[in-house]
Amino acid sequence: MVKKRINIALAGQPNVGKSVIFNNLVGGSQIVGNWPGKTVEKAEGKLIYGNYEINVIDLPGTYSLSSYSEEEVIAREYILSRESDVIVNVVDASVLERNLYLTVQLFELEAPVIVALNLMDVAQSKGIRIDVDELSRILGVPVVPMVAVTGRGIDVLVKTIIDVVEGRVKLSPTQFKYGKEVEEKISTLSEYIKRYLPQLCSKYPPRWLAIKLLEGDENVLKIVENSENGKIITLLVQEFVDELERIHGENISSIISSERYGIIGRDILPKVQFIEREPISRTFSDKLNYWTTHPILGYPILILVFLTIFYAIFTGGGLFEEVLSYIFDENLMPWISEIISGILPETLSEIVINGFFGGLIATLTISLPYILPFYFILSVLEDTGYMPRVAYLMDAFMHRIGLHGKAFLPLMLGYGCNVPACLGCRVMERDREKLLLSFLVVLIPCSARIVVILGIVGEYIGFIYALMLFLINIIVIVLFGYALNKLLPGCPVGLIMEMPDYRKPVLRAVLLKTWHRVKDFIYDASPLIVAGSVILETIYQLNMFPLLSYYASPLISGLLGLPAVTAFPLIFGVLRKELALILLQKVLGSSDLNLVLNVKQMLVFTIVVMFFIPCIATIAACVREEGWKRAILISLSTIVISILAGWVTNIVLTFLFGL
Amino acid sequence: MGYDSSLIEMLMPKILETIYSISISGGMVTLDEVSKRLGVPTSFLEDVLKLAREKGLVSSDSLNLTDSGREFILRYRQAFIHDKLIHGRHGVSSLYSDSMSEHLKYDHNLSDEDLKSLRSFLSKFDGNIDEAEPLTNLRRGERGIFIYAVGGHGMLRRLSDLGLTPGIELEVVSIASLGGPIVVKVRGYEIALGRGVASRIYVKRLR
Ligand SMILES: Nc1nc2c(ncn2[C@@H]2O[C@H](COP(=O)(O)OP(=O)(O)O)[C@@H](O)[C@H]2O)c(=O)[nH]1
Ligand SMILES: [Mg+2]
Repeated sequence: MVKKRINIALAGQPNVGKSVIFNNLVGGSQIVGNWPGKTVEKAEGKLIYGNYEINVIDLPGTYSLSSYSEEEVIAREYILSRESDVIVNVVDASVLERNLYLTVQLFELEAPVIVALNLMDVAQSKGIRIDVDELSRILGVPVVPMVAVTGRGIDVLVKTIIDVVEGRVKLSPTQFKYGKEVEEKISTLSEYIKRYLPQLCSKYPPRWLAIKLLEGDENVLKIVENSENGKIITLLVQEFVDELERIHGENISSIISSERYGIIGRDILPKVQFIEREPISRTFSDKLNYWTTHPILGYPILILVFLTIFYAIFTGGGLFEEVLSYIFDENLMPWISEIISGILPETLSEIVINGFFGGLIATLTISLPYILPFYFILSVLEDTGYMPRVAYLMDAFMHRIGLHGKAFLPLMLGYGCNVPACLGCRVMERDREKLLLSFLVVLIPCSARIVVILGIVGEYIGFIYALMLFLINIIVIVLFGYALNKLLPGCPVGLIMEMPDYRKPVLRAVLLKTWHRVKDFIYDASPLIVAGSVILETIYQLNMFPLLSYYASPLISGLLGLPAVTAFPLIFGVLRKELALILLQKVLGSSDLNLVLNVKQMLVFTIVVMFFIPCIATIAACVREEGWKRAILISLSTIVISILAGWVTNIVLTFLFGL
Repeated sequence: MGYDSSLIEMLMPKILETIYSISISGGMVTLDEVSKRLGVPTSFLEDVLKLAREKGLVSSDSLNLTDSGREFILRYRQAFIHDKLIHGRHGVSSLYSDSMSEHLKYDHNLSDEDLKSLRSFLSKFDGNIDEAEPLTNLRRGERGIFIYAVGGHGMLRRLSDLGLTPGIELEVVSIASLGGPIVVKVRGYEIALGRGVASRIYVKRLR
């Protein structure tokens, strides 16, 4: 029998358990990608339930539905597209007031909303009782109490959705009234909108248009201004806004928000939310909050957390990598090369073996040992709520380079791998910050580059010198950030961020998140690594490298004082940064670098590698986040910086230290 | 199709004001010019003019304002500025609203620079007028009432979306060292505000 298709979407504020509910509904069937043309994540999945095939979309979490951020615009356009039969508004029962702020706006959009009242357990532990039936009566839509992490309420939620679709339960969302003056303006405006802009009313609810116009929503203003007679309406809006601002003595966006909170505080909350008792001691979460945001001790804790993570990833990943390379390099590769060289002529078989299979194995040996644990720990940290604390602690510092606290995490991620760092730049709300941050994250030495730094400078010159390089790296990043902040048009925005309570992460959710991220990484990175590796192997096989080092020699030998052949490891490093070390030993014909390079050359080479073009996987991530043009610009900037830094080092060491 | 009469009446001052602006800046007042400036169709302007002529605000044979028309406009503007600056509870913050900036620039020929210095001048008094002080003055554990914030559209929008609306009580929960953010508790949850943002939020301290 053909199943009946139902489309639903989950909408809600950030951190309300949307993803947990989504996972509960669709399990492993989900596809995670981006919204078309946007860098906002889109998760979609299917649930088969009896005779129904329910298609679920997880909308981005937003506090509001204005056009403040890309997420808000996406959520609201999707809802306006009317593709969903039901919008499930996931609501945090422990922060009901603020969550209803979004609910009221969903009602204004005249969306077919039902409410999933999640986190009932947390509300209870805070001593909050909610009269669910009364809430449902006041809103005029079903309200399903839930504890997503234990699965409580999921079944009822699905049944309710089906009841709504089948018409067994009628939605009659209450149209909440604003205060008298504002309400008058809204109804007058919507009358005129219906009358003079009928073409828009088929797509947008007129009352919603009226509210958005009053709020000064840029997108809606544009739509209205571009339609016939639209200017008359916006002129009237101006008049109304002036009048309201005059009466209230406040900015119009404050007025409208106040009114919405007023609706909630007056018409909803007093009748449904009861504070029964003082919160039962949530000592652990509170203590954790106290120490991790402590003005002094917060910092050592932060450093400790990140050091532990990196240490764990490095040692664990190193072990894992050895095992993998034993499997692949020692056993699989000889076997593959035997077969291939049996069928293909020599040059071609080298290209296929080293280029194709080498690239493929490279993807696996980076992604499995390092990326996987890395994403796992990251997901755990995210789900507990530590990240906002990190942003809080680092905000002042990040402001120096035109960013704010949230930018610290991507930079930190960069030390593990630049790919998640690039993808992580999307935490910035504005385009300017996103771009600025993308320029900086690719300069952070990732684990592979750290291997090179430790393997050359740490090994042959001294650990303390390796540490100095990290310091130089940070200084360069700060200077570059400072300069970019001055150069880029626009001005930096400040930090405005919710500090959610600490929560216990759910293993299942963390694993799913990790899995999707790793899968994405493999999908995105492996074709490029393989292609790049094939191309470079071809160049090598065609014996074009001497030519290359010939042309590179003015730069490499002249400016940087390095042997011309080092052009080769530098360029190959674009595939995988740790190749730079292995190949350096190869081209110089010795695994003891002391014999072939002096101290100055080692330092210069390492510094260049540290800043030089991000690896191919990072470039791919960068393209995905920022587009081709910007990715190229960012890559070029790293070339310039690396050569400048190498050149300056060369000069300083030669003239100041006589090396 | 004629336009709704109350719509015409509501927008008449704006239209007449535009006519006035064009004429004092020495421009030729034509229907097309007014229509271009405001982006509204001439048919609508004709309806407005009909009403204005009936009221004797525009002379019957040209687009010039009559004496009473001019008086009408001046009164309209005065009321506007007076209300906003003097009676508005939040003098300086209103200077940041677009409509106010437009009016000052447009009618009083203030440049962006002038507007900026006017703002900074008035902001010296503003706290005193409102008994409001920047959030950054509060110490940890102190409480206050949010009065207003000064800043761009995006910032104001975000603050009010997160529940920081005029009149709401807040408590300073923690203050990061080295000029870092301030965490306030509003409506039962916590929000971190960068120091720059916090310094543009004005509150009335509660004792
Ligand atoms: N105690 C409790 N925690 C929950 C519940 N639902 C979600 N969480 C936790 O809340 C955090 C945020 O959940 P998530 O689904 O990622 O939120 P989203 O941002 O809305 O997608 C995670 O740590 C979840 O484990 C619930 O009903 N009870
Ligand atoms: Mg989520």
